[in-house]
Amino acid sequence: MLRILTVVAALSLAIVSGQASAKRNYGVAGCGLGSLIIDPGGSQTSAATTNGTAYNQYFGITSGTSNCTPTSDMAVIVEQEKFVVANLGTLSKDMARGQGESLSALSETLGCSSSVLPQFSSHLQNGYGEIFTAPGAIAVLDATKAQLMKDELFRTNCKHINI
Amino acid sequence: MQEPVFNLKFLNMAWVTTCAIFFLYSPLRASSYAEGLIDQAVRNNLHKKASWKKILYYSNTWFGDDIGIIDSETFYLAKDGKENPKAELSATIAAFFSPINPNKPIGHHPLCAYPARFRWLGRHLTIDQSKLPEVPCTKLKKWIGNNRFARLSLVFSSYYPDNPASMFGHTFLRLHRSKKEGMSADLLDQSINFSAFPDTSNAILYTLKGVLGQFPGKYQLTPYFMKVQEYNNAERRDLWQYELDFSPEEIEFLLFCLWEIGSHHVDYFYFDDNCSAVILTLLEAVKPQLNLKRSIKAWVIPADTLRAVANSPGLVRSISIEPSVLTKFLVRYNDLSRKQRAVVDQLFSKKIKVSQLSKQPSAASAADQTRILDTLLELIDFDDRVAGSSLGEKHTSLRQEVLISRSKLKLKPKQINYNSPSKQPHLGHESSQIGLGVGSYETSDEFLDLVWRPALHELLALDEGYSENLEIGFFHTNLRYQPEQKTLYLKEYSLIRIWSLPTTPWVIKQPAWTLDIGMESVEKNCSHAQSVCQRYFINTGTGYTEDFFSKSIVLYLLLAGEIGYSKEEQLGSYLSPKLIYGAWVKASKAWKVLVQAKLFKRYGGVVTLDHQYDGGINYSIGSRNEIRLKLKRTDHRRELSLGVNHYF
Repeated sequence: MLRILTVVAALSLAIVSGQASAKRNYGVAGCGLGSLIIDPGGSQTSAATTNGTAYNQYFGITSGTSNCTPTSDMAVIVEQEKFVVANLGTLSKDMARGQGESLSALSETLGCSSSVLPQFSSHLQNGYGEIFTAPGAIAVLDATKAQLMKDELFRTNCKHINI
Repeated sequence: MQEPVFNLKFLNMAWVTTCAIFFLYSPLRASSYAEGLIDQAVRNNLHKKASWKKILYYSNTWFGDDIGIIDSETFYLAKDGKENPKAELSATIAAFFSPINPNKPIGHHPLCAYPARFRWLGRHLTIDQSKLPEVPCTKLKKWIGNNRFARLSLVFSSYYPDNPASMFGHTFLRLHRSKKEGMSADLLDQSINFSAFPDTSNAILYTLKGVLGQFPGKYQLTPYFMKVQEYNNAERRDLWQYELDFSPEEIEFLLFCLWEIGSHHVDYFYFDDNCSAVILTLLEAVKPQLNLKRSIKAWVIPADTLRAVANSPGLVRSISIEPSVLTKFLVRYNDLSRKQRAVVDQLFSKKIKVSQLSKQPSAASAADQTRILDTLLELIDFDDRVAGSSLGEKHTSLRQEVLISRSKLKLKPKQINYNSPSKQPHLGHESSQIGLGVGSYETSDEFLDLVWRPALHELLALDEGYSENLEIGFFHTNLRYQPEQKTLYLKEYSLIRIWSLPTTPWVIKQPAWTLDIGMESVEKNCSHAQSVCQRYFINTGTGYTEDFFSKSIVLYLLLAGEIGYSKEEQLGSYLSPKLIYGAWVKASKAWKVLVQAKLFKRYGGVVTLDHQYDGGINYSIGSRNEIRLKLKRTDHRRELSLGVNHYF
């Protein structure tokens, strides 16, 4: 009837600390980056964010997003990571199939013009083997961007792949 | 349908009136001005307007009319605001004109904290904006600006027997982003969820506290993709979307209402102030002309709220499904030929390697290989509960191998329509049942039965709109009257009764299972003074099903155990291993037959070996009524009865 049992667990530090990168010069308190992990063993969802409570503390009214303006690279990266972490399984399937809702969402998160979505999907399908050998969600995100950077089409049509 | 366009200009205009900046503020003048407004509001009986009561979430309860459901002390501004719409109206107007408190953040001023009430007042009173204090409401403005939505859907996640808290399904709202500015991805929509925040994981405490309203219930705004991962993938439940006839302006007002509620809470009652009931009050706050809660009973079943919405003329624009990983697998699997299905099974059990796929006669073309691998992927993800970042444990290397082969095929997946209109959950029969029956024992004693069951669905009933092969019964109550003896007694009472008889293909065969906790009256073996005595029991078991003729005949076999207790010495306390076997026949949509037998031995008291059986033939007349013939043999006694049931 309800998700009464939603358990919130803090599992996110690994993402940032394990994948330190020059591109991500923010601390964990940053914009509320979190890992969103569905527990495969049970029916409970563990939605963890570094802000502590469930996703946004009542619609982000009091969350730490105030540091992040929608245009800042940091905020964009956080959104990208959040999306890939929460959708990794679906993304791998859609990417290998060259089609799917998670690909259009990824394309939007990477700032790609919707007119290049068909090429975007085929390009990532072709590069699947390289992209999904990368270990973990964040590495997959980086490999996806690197794959897209190889093609002029995406360098000009995707605003947020070179960050 | 034309996409409603979210009007940015409208938003800006709203802000000029809502949070305008004015300089002529003076506490004295404003206060007398406010008093004048209050007089005017009361004279015009604004506090009696349904729309006012609805944005304050007043409801009529057993304890009286107009009682606010919000339980935080600070939500209602008047001392008795929770029960007094008039006092709350006066207090709200006064609060809007109250001076800025230098000790509090300016964003906490009532003008920023209660934007829905402010907009409502603006519709009913002429307010001189220059008399209001100067508050910019930056946070609210930013939040509304970042959350612009074009459409709204009520989403129902299907029945889920694995978790008692989710057994009846769940509802939440989905906010569809406007499709402008290249924002086309559906997954990036938002959802509004109302749920309890429990403070215990102890099952007993949890149930007790849940029923007694001891957990705070709060709204949450979550990305829609989280809901997809949680329901479609982790719990394998379909999400049914009912798009509602709400304009972008109404959706903005809904966000104002949410902002007002913010971190305030509603005591979460499992049976009434639950997710579904509270979502309805929110919809009514925005569209006060709706009367959705009228058709809702004292207990609220999520599917009932869906029916209330679907039956409200013009409210639902369209119905669609976001299929679960199980539905995706089943539909794709059934779309394959028998030989191709066998290939999927063999790949899954690693009897053939993915690299040998193209050598299979039924997978000669790239298109066939694509369909086989796409089906296999859903099968793996179902079996391994792939969701979020978790790529499973059992089949990770197989999955990766399949994905790489699949990407090399370079074909798009076959387009599949998952929408199966007969499964739309609002089509299901009403959740409460009342029934009347007449019957006779083999000794020719006659009886009358009165049956009442508040929820939810039986295997013999019409299964349109319900989960296939799943019976969930709560508080099934059967009163029996025997005219000859002039005795009236509780024949049966069941706290909970579940029968899950899944007919999924063998490759993902799920066990059948049952749980039944309750009491029954026994007419035999009672001590001399009594003609009936009671037995309490917990019965549970698990086993397998096999289906024939496209699932119209289901045979099942379960190994079960029962613990029983009775004060009667003859019955005593006992442990009883059982073998339950039966046949369930869906002869047509309206005709169903269920025949079941139990072979068991009771240890404790007197050791007995026994064989009992019961059977029923059901004919459904429309979705509200049914006729049922039942034959039962228990405790060395047969009974036959004929009854009618009505759903309401």
